[in-house]
Amino acid sequence: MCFRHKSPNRSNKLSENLNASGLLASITVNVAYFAQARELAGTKEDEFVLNDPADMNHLLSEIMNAHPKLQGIRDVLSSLVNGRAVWENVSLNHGDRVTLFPPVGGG
Amino acid sequence: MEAIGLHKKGEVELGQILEYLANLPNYHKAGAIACFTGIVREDPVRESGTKVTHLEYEAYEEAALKTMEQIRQDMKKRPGVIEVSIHHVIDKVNVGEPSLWVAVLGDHRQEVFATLSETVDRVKKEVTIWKKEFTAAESYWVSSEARGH
Repeated sequence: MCFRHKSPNRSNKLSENLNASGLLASITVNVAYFAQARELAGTKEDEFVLNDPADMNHLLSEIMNAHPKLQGIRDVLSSLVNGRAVWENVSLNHGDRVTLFPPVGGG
Repeated sequence: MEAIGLHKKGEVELGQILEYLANLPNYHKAGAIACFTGIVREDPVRESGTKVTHLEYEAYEEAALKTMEQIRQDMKKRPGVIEVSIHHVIDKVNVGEPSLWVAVLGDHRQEVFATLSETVDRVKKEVTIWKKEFTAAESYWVSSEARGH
């Protein structure tokens, strides 16, 4: 099941969410969870609508609000954006795929 | 059979991996094959006294295969290493059953032993695979930092 979350800071008034070009200033980001992150989130994947510009810190904040149980492992979570590891706060674009997971443990 | 792969239980076994190596065009230049098979053990990570019944593996497959291939390519660059094969089961695996195979084909035993050990370490630390340990009493996720893993 995929949940669609809208940032609470995003106004429902269309005029307040238009950028200088008159375009909607929001982006949609897909989030996939694995292992313990998936169990604590209660879902394999999510969709978040964020104010543009948005970054990973903003997304993580929204994720924690939507799934408070993830707070317990927040410090050990790793993330990929479009398949690439990210170790610092990065900007997000519309359509980005973010993957969130705890420390790996194969073998 | 490819050099690397993720599989359901029963889809692959060591003999197939050795056959893959034996069919390589430069197989006859090799003087050694070193193999590792990871099997599920009954001693739990947690010192609860309750034996493990099985593990369940989960993978972010796209990223896992990419990382496995990167590890393979890195190891193949080492002098004396001809091929590195890595295969992992992503499924429920019972105690005593295998979940990971790594095989290294190379010129001499020194190169293949060292490469085998490093490859196994990197697979456990880098590949997006997770395992959940089940005992009669409880279940919990196990990371690569856990005791003996």
